[in-house]
Amino acid sequence: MDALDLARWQFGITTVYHFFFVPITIGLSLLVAIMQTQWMRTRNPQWLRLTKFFGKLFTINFALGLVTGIVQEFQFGMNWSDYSRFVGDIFGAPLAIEALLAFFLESTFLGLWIFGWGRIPEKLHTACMWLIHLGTVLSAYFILAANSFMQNPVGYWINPETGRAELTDFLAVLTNKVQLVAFPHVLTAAYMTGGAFVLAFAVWHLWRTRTPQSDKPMYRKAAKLGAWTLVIAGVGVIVSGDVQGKVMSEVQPMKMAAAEASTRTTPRVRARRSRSSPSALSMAPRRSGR
Amino acid sequence: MPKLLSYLSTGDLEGAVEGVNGIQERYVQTYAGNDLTEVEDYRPLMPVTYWSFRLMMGLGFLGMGIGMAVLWRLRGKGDADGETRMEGSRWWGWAAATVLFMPLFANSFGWIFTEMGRQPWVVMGLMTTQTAVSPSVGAGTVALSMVVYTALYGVLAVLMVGLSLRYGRAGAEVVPEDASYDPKGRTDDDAFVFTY
Amino acid sequence: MELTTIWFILIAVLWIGYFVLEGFDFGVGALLPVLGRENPDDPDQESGETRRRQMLSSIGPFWDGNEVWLITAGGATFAAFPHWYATLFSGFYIPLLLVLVALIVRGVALEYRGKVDSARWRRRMDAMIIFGSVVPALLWGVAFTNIVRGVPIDASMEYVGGFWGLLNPVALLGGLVTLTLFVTHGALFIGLKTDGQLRYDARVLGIRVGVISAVLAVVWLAVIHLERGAVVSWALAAVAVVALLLALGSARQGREGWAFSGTFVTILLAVGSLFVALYPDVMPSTLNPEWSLTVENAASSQKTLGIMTVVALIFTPIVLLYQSWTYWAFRRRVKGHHIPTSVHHAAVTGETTGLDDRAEPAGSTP
Repeated sequence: MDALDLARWQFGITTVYHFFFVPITIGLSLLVAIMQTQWMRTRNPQWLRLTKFFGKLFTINFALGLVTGIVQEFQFGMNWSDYSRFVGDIFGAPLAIEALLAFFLESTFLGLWIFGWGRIPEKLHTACMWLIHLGTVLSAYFILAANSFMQNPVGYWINPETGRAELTDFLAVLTNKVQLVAFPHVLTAAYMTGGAFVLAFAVWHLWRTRTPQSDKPMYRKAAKLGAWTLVIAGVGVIVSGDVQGKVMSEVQPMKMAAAEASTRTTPRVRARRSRSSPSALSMAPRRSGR
Repeated sequence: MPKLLSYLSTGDLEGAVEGVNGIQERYVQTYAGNDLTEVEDYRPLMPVTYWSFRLMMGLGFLGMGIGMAVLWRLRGKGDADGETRMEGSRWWGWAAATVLFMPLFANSFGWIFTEMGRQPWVVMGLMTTQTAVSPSVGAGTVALSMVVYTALYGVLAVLMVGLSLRYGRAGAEVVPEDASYDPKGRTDDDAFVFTY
Repeated sequence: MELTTIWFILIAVLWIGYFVLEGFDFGVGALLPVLGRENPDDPDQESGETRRRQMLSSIGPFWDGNEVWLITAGGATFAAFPHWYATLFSGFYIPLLLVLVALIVRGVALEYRGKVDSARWRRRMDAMIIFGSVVPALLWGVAFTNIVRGVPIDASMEYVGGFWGLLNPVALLGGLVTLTLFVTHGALFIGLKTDGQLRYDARVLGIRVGVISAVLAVVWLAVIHLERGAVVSWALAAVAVVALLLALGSARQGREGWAFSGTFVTILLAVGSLFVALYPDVMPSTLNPEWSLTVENAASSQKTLGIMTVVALIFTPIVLLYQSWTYWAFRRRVKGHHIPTSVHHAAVTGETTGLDDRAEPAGSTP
């Protein structure tokens, strides 16, 4: 294998691994925030116990999501330096904003939440988990905006002097049509994952005979919360995925065709293609070297 | 499933969809003559895109199915019966053990589809992946870092899964009926609720 | 002022923020084997484990937020100076890999240490925390010395010096300076944030390491500024050293707040002096000055810099506000009796606690 193959494998391995923790963090922070809010509202100790139980599991997962995330950010420069030079102008901005808006929020308020029991007022403590959740959602938005640029570059021009892609319209990058469908798709999928996480542990305790009978109603609550989240978010995933498929066939026809492994073109398209001019695609850049 | 693809892509069962070979021909002409965009083959690895797409959808639906089954089983106000009927049942044991991995792996396959389906591009239409890699970093260096990350991530996975199972099995800790975490009720003589 | 200059300053601020903040939590981690053991002279007979937990809990709520300064510095460099980011990160590959491994290991160990109640588990996690604190504290000094003094960069902006080229004597000296400086900073932080014998021991140790650090720092700063310095950078470096001496003096008088502020200012000004010496280059080339990366040729477009400036001006103060508030919320010293004796029932293993130095049996959660 050459450096290219190795770098691709490394990106694949580290990204898939990192993304086990990301959706759990997004989904579970919401559910723990809901549980803690329920406890604040009702003062029912079952909700407090669930908050602590899933809060602990949340921190165990968050730790890995955090540390593997640093690798992701550094990897672009380490293994993909020519990519970074070519698109840094556009791709770097959402990454930096993600750090400034989202990572600070998540990390600072997680510290407050973990150590804040009994040390900051209860309402503020509950608000911390909501802020962590806000941080994870913002983080998802900006990183997906960066990814959407890779799927469907918008808001840029190729500077003939530098041979680099440069930003012309940041709003266009943030409201890329791929982004507008990818973000809801990824977010709802993360909620599905969070729901399934809660569901898995709750159902396991409902199934288990050694779990005290007096605890069963509590796990029942958690199982229902997890299941509702899983199903409702699932509907969101289906709807957003459906729209996404249509956007993708427009901007990345090759990807959708490859999804179905369809090699031949259906006749009607061929007719349409031959009529339309290829102008849209011939605007691809010419590189003048760095 | 040509009709399904037509529907997914165009919203119309009879909608026309261009095949990869046709797109390949167009791309070869469009992107020729530029170092950043010219490659021989613009087609992604089709077994990967084909199967990751299906696994994503299949696992997602399966996860939702289990969610709906749980909702059905736990419907109503919650008599003791509804809860205990899950106890010891092989079906619910399996559901608990597998349900998390359905959306979790669906996420992975979704990303594998998205990113592998974009190949050979790193930025669609602007830059191919082969031109994006660091020119000054040798294969040995990348191999070293890959071995290090993979080994380290493997160990961390063992720790994380071990701890999650341990804490999951222990269940929710018992709290006093009137538990309060208001700092006003505490003095400097009290221990903190949590420290490292 | 040019946008490129503004961004050079902002990135300097991010790195300074990273070092003044994470500097002390690296120091605390590195001191775990030194301060985290029982002192026979301690009237309270605080156990080593209690002392270690006091130390770790003093940085507990903060270290994660401190680390984000690094992530933001990396992201901002990517956005504002893509060539700097690309050359630096691909060129300093192996040291950065080591830093990343260290930060991964450290973050996980800090979070997981208390999750299993076994002496062996804790010893392993402590080793990971120590490794994860010492290695980056050393390597950041090596990296920054190389950045400021220049490295072999060719005409196409690629680093061509190899791994061993980074380990020159001055760079290694720089590594020792950051390590000792962070250890001093960390010791004074423990002095400020804990109580009992630990507080006293930390102060004494901080003064000792601080003296070594001062000597090393004078040599290191002199070498760098003789090569690249101007009046301003010399002045900053000089004030940095004075601040360090004042910090040690305050520590001797038991004025812990002033002592910690002193090392805070020292790190701030020393790193600041490096950036002043660096400007207007961002990575000078030792092969040919024309091949150096500068704030001009490494920068993003004006458009990107402009947008990023607006975002930074709005959100940096907000971040500073809530992060400072965290320090306020956890302003109390961590005392021995604050460390809870009960452990989560899930943490208990067959092999236990009590074994090495805690008297209290495990598993007393109600």
